[in-house]
Amino acid sequence: MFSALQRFQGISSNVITAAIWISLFVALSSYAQLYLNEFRSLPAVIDHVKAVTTLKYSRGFGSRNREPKENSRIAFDLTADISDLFNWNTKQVFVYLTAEYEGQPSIPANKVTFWNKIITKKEDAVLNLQKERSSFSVWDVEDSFRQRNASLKLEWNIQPHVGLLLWGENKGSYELTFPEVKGSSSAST
Amino acid sequence: MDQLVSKFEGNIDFKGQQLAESVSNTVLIVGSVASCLIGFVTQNVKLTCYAFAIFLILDLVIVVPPWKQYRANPVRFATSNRSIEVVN
Repeated sequence: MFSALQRFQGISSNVITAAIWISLFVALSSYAQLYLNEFRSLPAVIDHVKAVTTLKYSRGFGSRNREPKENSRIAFDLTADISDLFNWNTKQVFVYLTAEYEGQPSIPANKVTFWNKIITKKEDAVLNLQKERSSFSVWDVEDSFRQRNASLKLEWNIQPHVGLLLWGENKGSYELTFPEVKGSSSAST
Repeated sequence: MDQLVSKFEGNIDFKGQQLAESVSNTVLIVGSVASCLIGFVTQNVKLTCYAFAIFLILDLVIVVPPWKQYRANPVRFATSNRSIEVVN
């Protein structure tokens, strides 16, 4: 602390220590807020799901060697309020609609994402979607969905300013049966 | 040249060093707690950063330059008025 340079160095090192403590407070307090909001049991209502299965022949849709590959698209209604996931440490929330379904014995579980959205503001966190169309055309590891049953869920990923990423899902699911291929003549590349 | 260096070195006395250290720590601790509270109450993490930056600048301004208060107790050296007898 004798010369100005020494005092500057002393302050610099103390500032880093203080910044670590502040970060810790920000992260821990935001977890506390999330748990007080019971963020693991927020409801979501997924309804009026209309699925369409088509055959695709291009590599961009998972086909190999021009073999037909079943692709699935859906339209759905979604009502969910995830504003409880937002607090002072939330940078953005990534919400995505997934379908989980059984597979072959060698591939016991499958999960695909039909739709997603990045929410950066608390004001935008009330989702009320009507006839929303899926973001992606989805295909299975196998060539066909074989009219299996899938369970649609709304999942989320919180990306905080400081701290760990958090993953979770809303309560409430929708049971969907992948339909048969819609008239093979409508298949396109 | 030596004069120029010592002018910018910003040396302070022993009591001043003690004072500077305690002032610096106080400003940083108070600033950290205050900026946490400001951010938490307004639920805005950016305000925490800005508040902490302001306290940091304040700390640098208060502590780094050799203000008069840090040079109030200069070390006084004993005068060399004793003569040494050299015995042959």
